[in-house]
Amino acid sequence: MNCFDGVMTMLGFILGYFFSGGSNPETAIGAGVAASIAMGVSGFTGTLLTEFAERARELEELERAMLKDLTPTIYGRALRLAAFAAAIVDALAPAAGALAVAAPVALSSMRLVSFPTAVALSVATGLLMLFTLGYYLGKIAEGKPLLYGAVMVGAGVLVSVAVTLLGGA
Amino acid sequence: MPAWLTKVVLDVLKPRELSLPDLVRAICEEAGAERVSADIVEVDVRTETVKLTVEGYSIDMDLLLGKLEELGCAVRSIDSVTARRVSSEKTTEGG
Repeated sequence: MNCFDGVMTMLGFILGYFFSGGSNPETAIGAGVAASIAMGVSGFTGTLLTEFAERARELEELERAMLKDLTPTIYGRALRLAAFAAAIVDALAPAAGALAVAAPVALSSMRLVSFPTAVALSVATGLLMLFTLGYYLGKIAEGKPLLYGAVMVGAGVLVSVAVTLLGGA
Repeated sequence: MPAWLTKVVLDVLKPRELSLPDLVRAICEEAGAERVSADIVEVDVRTETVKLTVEGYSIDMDLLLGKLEELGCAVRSIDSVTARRVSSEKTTEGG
């Protein structure tokens, strides 16, 4: 779900920049990369601390039942490893999602496409990623993948329309 | 003449997350045992009491207890131990 956050944030950022009159792709990509780094660091620290605290509480409960310290056992090692792995994933997911949406703007900064085309491509990439994420969620939840995908795209369209209206105001 | 431990029966408290196949496999593979069996004696919300029977040609008790410790198990008592006297010729053969 952190990837969803990254895609949404970058979608809103690019559209907001474009509709508020911005036309410099270098500025957009610089701010986009900075936002991705911030989201990555935020995802890493937030997840590391919450996962560690939650798993430490579970381990403490098990220690109380076992009447022994489980820190040097496989359970203690699993706690540290799982918290770290979850933090890495939560750091990379939003940053990767955001950078994928910002990629067309990077093409624009290389003068390969015009800035308005890059914005349109970013929106298309973002909506496609949202649909894919929703479809995947629907699959693993054994629900309706197409419905999940449509809901995610709906959320993306909602953000796009809101940002467009705010930018044009 | 030295004596080697050939069978040890332990009363072990283990977390329920650790399955019996994982427990016996780990003891078999890493604690030098040739035959391991585990029988559930008591089940609690988060823990299980297990009667662990370890058999082998020469059981290394320190290795066995260390492995159980690493797996997060608590050995509550050593209920039975069997040893076998080994002639010096066999000791040389066994290394």
